[in-house]
Amino acid sequence: MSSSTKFLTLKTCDDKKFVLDEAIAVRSQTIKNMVEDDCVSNVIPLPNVDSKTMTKVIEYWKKHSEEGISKDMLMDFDKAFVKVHHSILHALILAANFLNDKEMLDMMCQEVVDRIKGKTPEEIRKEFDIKNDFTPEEEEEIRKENAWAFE
Amino acid sequence: MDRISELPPEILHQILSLLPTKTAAQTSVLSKLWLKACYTNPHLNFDQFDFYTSSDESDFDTSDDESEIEVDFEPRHNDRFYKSHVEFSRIVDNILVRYRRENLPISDFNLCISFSHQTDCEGLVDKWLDIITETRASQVTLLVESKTEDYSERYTLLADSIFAMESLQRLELNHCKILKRKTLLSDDEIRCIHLKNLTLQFVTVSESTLNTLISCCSRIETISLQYCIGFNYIRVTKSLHNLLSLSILSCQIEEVHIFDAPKLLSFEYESEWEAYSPDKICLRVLNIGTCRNLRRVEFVEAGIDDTFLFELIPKLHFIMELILQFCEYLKEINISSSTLEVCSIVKCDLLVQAIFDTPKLLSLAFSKQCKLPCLSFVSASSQCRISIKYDTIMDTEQLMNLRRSLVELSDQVVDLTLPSIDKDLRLTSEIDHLPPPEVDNLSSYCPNSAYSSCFDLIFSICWPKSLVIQYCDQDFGEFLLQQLLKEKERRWRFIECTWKEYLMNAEIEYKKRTRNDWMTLDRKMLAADPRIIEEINTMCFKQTQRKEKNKYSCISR
Repeated sequence: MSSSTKFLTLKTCDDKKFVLDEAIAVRSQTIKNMVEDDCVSNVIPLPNVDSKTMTKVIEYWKKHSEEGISKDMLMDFDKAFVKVHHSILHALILAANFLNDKEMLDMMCQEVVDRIKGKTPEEIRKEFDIKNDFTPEEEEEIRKENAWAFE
Repeated sequence: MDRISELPPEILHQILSLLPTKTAAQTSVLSKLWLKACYTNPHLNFDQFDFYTSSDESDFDTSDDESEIEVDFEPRHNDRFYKSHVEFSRIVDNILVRYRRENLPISDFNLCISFSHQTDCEGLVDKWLDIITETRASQVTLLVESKTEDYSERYTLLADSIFAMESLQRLELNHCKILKRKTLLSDDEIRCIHLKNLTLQFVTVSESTLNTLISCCSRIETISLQYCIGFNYIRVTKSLHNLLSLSILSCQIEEVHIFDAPKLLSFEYESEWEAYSPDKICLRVLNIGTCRNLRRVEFVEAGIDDTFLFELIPKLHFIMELILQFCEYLKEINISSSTLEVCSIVKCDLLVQAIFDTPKLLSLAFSKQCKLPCLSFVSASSQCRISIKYDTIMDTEQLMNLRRSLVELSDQVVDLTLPSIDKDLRLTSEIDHLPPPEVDNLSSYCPNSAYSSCFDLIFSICWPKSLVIQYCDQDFGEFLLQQLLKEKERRWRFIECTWKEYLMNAEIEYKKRTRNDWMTLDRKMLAADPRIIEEINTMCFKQTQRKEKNKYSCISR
């Protein structure tokens, strides 16, 4: 492989193309494996990721690949990065999972955890727009079964 | 629109495993998808301390009241504890029994439980281990603590339960006793051959059990033993092909025999730190056999002597890092290695001489030494840096010794770290005709008062190419402001080498209290807005011109 900068073209499910430095794109283990197995022709299709989400992912990758960036600055960036509506959070988790970027996935999951902690079930439902699909009787039954958790 | 619940189950499971036990269980009422995720989560994490509600905690707090003596035997307290313990055990038991009944997988199992007395549920943890064995969990962490500190009262686990866990890859045991029922186990009873990481903390285990366990796990990669009792040697006769690191902290081990561990990279040994008696346990034999890849060796209070070290080092063909801490039997060491790159010596106070024949040595660090040993280098890398660090300066004698050592090291690159200098310390006048030895970096803390005399003292010990001062306070800031904004006075033009001139000519960088990156301090900016100085936490002065040694000595004569 030549040492000069190589670029990869990523195509999202809505047919948008992203040209990205290979050194940055291989933060995704999925893309890395493709590159290593030499099965990259010219365009890498990402059938599970839309362009809006990919833009966010690339923003994250670029920031984390910046040379000489301080830990504090990255922490500030990450903090702001995860403060999004839960539907975007969901899309980012799926993308990080598909692209196999463990660092990013762990960070997004931690954000979900932080949004759950210290809330009552009703508050959690509100936070994530979760529809309660239990009948009152069913819910009562589960509460009884796990009474220890609701003391 | 509820998206989060539609995440793949493995991700929901990951999220649940990051929550405290109780909160995770509460999510089961959110919706059917969450209920399913909760009931099938393969990461089981049970921590008894997650189970105390806030009202329980306040109950426990009241038992700290001074009027109640012997709190541990206070009936209400014990009763409360016992109730919560029984409840916790019942929940863990119910859940595990359900996993077995429904044939659900468990990938990792974390248990933190405390017993008031070891007899209160004898064998319960073994029963759980049996279930985990059936579900083929690969990661197991157990903290099985007894309320009493007595070693003999530790909760007893059967070695058989551990040996039976065929899929086990990582095992961590805390605060328990491992008991082997039979003296000899046949090979088919030992099935935990996939174990990669073994950590034992505060565990009572016999020599034969431990040696059997280690010997049968041919794929083991890391072994860490801390505060374990019941054995005083490790003897592994089988080949440990994958062992990478062995760490023994505060265990009463005198002998380590490993006959074959070709990949071993790191060996760490720290002896019982509280024992200062002459008959204290220390490492007497380290038989490293064919561990020819050993890269990092650390001894802490290991009781090793000059001969032990001299004979050991030539056997370590790949050693890159050697750490000697509190090794009080070392006096004259002679280290000869063609591979050693890093050597750290911490408070080996009787050390008077150190000879290095180490062509690749890049870093030699001393810290907390009363006095530096006389150093000689038969060979060392031309890029070798010597770092010297003091946490406290006891007296003038120590400073004099330091200055003498620095003069001897004038050909080397030296980084020096000093504590905040006490204004009462003075160097005696006999050294004044010698130029202060040059060091590359000096790092120190903000002096408390008498800044001028502290700087006088620092600059009579050494002449730093760069000087870092941490934790600057407001008074010190004002003092610096005066120095930095002073007009250059004519008389200083001829006497180049005072610290005032040094500060005035230096390039200055600083860190604010709230940030961690360096910024350049511009004198004009400072003059326009002196308040900058109030925000400064760390300052770094860099010498702009090389000091001419001869010039200084001329002037001082």
